[in-house]
Amino acid sequence: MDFTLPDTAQELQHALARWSTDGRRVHYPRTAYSRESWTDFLRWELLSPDFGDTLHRCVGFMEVSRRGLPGPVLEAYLAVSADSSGQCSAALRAGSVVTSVGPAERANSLVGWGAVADLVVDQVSGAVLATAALPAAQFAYALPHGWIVRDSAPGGDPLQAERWLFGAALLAGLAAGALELTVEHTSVRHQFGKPLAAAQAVQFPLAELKMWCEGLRLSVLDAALRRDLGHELWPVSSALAWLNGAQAARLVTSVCHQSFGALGFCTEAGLVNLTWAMSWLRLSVGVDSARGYVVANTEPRLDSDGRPDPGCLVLDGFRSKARP
Amino acid sequence: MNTDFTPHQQALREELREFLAEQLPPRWVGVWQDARSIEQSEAITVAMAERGWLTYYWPAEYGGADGTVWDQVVIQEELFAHHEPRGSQYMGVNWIGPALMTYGTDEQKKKYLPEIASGQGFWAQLFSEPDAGSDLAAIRTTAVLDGNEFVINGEKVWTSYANTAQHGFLLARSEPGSTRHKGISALLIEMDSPGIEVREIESTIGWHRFHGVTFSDVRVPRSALLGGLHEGWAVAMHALPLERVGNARYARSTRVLGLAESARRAASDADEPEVADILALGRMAELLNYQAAAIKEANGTLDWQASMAFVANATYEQRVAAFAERVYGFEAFVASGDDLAPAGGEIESFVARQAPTVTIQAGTYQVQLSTIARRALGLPRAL
Repeated sequence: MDFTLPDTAQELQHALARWSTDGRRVHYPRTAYSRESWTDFLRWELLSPDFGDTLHRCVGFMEVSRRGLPGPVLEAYLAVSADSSGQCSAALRAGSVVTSVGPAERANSLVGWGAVADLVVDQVSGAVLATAALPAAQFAYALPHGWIVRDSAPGGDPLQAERWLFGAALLAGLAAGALELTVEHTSVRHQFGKPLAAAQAVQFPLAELKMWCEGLRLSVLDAALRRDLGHELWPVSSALAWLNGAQAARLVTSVCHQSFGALGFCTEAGLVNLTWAMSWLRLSVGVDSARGYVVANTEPRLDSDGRPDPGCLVLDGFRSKARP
Repeated sequence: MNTDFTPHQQALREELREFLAEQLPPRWVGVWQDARSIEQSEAITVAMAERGWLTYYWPAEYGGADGTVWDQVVIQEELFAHHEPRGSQYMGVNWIGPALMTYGTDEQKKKYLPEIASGQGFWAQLFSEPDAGSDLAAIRTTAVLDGNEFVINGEKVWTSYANTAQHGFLLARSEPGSTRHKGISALLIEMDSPGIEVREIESTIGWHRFHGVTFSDVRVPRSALLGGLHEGWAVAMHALPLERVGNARYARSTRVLGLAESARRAASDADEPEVADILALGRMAELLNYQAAAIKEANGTLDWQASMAFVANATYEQRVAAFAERVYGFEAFVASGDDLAPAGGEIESFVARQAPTVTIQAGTYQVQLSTIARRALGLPRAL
């Protein structure tokens, strides 16, 4: 095994970090959305089908999202993946806001960044659902999401594993960013004559978050690598990464806001942009399908007599039931 | 980047499984059951040594097979998934041997390394004291030079295997008047030295699990010193991360998860969501342990990564234990001596003995969090 990122992935990470620090700091994460930042982000071509392998794309997604989502990153990527006509890619090259919506049981669906969209695509069929901004939804926070009314979605969900993997990559970046902001805040904010972070009650939960953030990062890279290698079970590892992302996002949101106090809910701190973005991803993608997929597609970790198979490690749980 | 085992390592895994299926006695749940389980453990350890597996990844010059860190990971996973039949020998293999290779004199290497490699030498870790648990630098046991001998006085506690070990890896204060991390030496001692008294501290988590060890004017030769005089803290800090990363506890957790899953499936599928979440956490624990192993392979210094692996193992283990408790109810606490014990007592061993103590072994959970906070997040030392 080897956990070293390829040189090209490290270079991409550093370049995006510089861009985030130098170019986006004014707006992010303190500003929820700006068209200017979205078009600036598109210059990196992370959403292009020709961008490169999954590992590099995930590394890019993780780095960009550390300072918040510049727009519908996951939705636009899924739109490009669903669209066989090339229309979405062309629109993105022109700087448009392209978003998409997945399978839904209800007629009214929330569409990420739908209220500022130029193009809205169905993730299942690739069909264009709208070519202009949708009616804005009214949220507790300034997320420019919109409503769409449509017929019940057709069966199947061909992009679910992509949604889990790239969603997990974005959650990994957002969680890491929220933790960084909180570490910074608790290090400079003094109470009782000491930095907040000098108290175990504050420090220990942050250390636990660090474990979750690092573990999530590795889960994402593990799944990305398997997709690139054409491993038959890359969707399982993507589902596991997503489930870790969802668990980490909940913990990070809770602990970081508790550590920040009231300031964490104020726009000027920036934290809330990261935590709301995590909530949006976590809840819009959901966990039920990923959980069901993991249980249905891994070894039951038992032998034919109902005893634990000696090969019952999680790593061997990656073997498909269908594998000879 | 690569997160898969090689075909060679998979083949090694299969061989080990066959071996363990043949060697392990029925209803094997670990070494803490009774005197017989200790004897069984020693027999398996020798059998492993005869096949070259005990110190497989050690250099050939020290009795190993020049295996890789990843070979060792496979061995650890398989053994932990079978309730770690090596007993105390895991210490000799995982961290005492490597510490000897780094700090030992030629004489010490010659004396101890072949013995560990043959599965014969058993060790006790003599670190904790009544007033020095998590705060290891608070130890008071003294080892004062008198001519060419150290004279040891003091008390150690929570020592596992002290009743059966031939050797002890001791930390003691060798510089009179010293405090904290300075003035400590590491000594390799014989447990049958005159003046050493071992008593069991009875507990609910295993037969002879803990001991107290008192030292009354125990004399050991100066040649027992490992590393420099008064430089034992560096030796301990080198060894402890190896101990933390050498515990593939996640493998045992996944085995127990499989057992609990099977018991539950007979009644209900309602737990599938929880099983999926726990499996995801298990994969995360594996990856964090593998990352630490990769650093070890690259001869890097294990620091907060080992602590992170520890925290992930503990989180996973206690989550699996909570699930198993819910599935089995109070039957989870029926031990292997009872014919009706679930899974031959494996559940009891895990739920009642292993999982509750995972957070207090090899440095407490809080010590690991403190290491992560300071070394990975750059936060100040907290009280």
